[in-house]
Amino acid sequence: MPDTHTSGQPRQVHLAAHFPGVNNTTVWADAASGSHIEFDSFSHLAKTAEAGLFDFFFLAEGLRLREHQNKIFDLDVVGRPNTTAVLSALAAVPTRIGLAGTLSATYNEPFDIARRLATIDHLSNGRAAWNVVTTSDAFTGENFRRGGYLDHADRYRRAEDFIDVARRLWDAAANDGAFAHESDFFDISGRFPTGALPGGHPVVFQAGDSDSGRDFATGSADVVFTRHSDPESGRKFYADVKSRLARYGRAEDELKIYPGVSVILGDTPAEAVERSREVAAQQVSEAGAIAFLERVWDRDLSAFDPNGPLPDVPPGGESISQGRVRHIKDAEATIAAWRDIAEAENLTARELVIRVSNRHSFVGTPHQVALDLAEAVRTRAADGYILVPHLTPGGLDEVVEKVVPELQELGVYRTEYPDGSLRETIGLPAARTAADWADARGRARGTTTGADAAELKEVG
Amino acid sequence: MSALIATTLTPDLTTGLAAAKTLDGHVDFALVPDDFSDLDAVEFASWLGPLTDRLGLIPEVRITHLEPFHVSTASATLDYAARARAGLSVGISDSAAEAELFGRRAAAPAVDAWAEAAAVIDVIRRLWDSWDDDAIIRDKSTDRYIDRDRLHYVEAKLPDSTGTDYSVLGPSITPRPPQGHPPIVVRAEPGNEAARAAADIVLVDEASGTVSLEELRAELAPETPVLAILPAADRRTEVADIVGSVRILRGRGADGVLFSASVAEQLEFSVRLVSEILPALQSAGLRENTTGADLRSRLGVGPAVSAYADA
Repeated sequence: MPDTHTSGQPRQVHLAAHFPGVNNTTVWADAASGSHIEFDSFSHLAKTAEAGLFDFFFLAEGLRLREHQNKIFDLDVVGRPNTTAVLSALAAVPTRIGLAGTLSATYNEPFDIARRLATIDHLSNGRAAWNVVTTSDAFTGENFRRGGYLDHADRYRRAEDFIDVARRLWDAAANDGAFAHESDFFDISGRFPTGALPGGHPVVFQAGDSDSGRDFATGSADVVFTRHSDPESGRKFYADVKSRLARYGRAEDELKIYPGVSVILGDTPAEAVERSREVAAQQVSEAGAIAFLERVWDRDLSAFDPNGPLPDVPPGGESISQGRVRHIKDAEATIAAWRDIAEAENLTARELVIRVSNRHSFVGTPHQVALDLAEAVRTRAADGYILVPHLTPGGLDEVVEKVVPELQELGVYRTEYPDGSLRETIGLPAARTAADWADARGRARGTTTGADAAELKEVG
Repeated sequence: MSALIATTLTPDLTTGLAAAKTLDGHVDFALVPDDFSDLDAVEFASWLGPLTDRLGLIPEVRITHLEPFHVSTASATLDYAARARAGLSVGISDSAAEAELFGRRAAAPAVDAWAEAAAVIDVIRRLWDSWDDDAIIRDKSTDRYIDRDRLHYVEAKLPDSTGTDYSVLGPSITPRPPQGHPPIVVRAEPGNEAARAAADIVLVDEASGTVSLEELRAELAPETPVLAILPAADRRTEVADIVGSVRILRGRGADGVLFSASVAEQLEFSVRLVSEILPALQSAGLRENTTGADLRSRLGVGPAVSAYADA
């Protein structure tokens, strides 16, 4: 039985580890900041997370380097491994933690991805997980055979079909492997060669946030990875997503919600707040502050001093950044709000960027952070949290050493891994067949086709 | 020079790891075959990376229906995980059955698929080279993590063997692998002259009756090692006969042999190879226990020079 079903026991906190990707979370200038590509960095973080009995290690992906004003963006950490190859290598190192990676449903083919994930599931004895994303636009397509071949709405329909086909192949693997599938997007046949997967199906993650993205998750995913890190917005998101499940014939515990969060610890509350302030400042360099503002203003702001006031010019609308997910929809309103904050608090441009961009989610003593995590899970702001460290690879050492024992003391955290596959570790039911998923979606939507214009996004 | 000795290693969950550990430190590399009828060879080789210390790991990748970009990052990642012991065996798909697994395109005639493969080998190397070794600068004075002038768009145009031509822009998402260029292996087949000319190591299966060692030696650059494929000897074959075969092949211009073992016999053969065949080859003066910091130097193929070395 999943922990959360056990009557009388408080809702259990689940944790996971995010290997930081290409953004300003990582303080690369810190003396303790190590390699982002050497294998030892990946194994260090995965082993640390396993020592802390975390559910899974999570790896993001981006298939083209980000650009800013038509040049490769050079201020943040950049350069990553191939997702499946590094997860396969990690399958050899820690032995119990889940291995989750982001793979595009746009620039891959189902047989290939399903076989790679099935291989990882075998090598890891049932610990594979797949964060399904669609990949933005023709910009990324320039690295691939097809180029930018799908329009916006079709990207999401293809992704849903892609997951369905992958699950059909894993179902076939449990039988004789023979498959034939024909749909709007795929026409494939043959034999899927891996034999039945130890975990049944790899766990499927999804990170959409829009209304249709949430429907996509409830119709196709086992886990939602979300940006709703503060408990207040987390509770709203959680209630909304979980309320959609019944329509798909799914119980509340059949879809898990994990926000990505940051943790800053101190021996005293005051020390933790001070460390949070210092790290937030380190996460925004002078050049990084201007680049951040340029992405919102959508114009060149290199003439402005990061230590002076906010630029006194209107937004330009040039779309100067490529290869990242846009989170700010209304630049004019955002800029107006920031001007008010900067004026009220007498902030320079860089101070304003620090103020609005790097709120750490859980800040305090190990005991306080444990209490806050337990309370957030108790009040259904999340089922678990994916921790994003600001240092690689040692950024979660302190959490595992100090917060995990506090959580165990509170009775809200496991003291050993459960038997079984990653599904048992997360608390998910056994995998349903692809046909079951498709039937449930058909009933919920009154159609047999996938979500139109559902939205899949990458977090991190 | 010492004969190069390698063997196939099918990605089998029961025997694969035990065979790899047996071979580790003794043979030069294991070639992990992949015709889509078993586990994925790149993933399997990546898993073996942290579990072995000395063994070269060379997965087969039939690139016809795959993305050159993904193949390049995967083999670069294998090179990191295996600490400079990765290679890449480039093959093609020319059957309808393999085309139907992917469903995107019709089967490609072998000669066209090999023409594309030769171009893909070039673009994979360019993607590996698209980050200079010193591209990550972590320069606090300018807040820059990388020097973007040390990254390169590869801007490659490739012929598609069954459809429209395509391009790969780059740079890679993965920094240059430890070896620069993990050695690329191609098996000589009729009509793949361009692909094998682009390879670091060429395999020849004379039993197939298509290409001879002498022809290959005349055709290839003298520094390109050629390994003859031999069936893994069963128990009835005397070790002395195997040593004799290797001696003859060496005399005809082969730089070594790749034993081809079936999945059923691979564990038993790996034990026999290490405990009987290699010592006999050493006694016969055909093999020294080779050393080398990375797979390239172990194979004697020399350090990789970046395509952008002068850029």
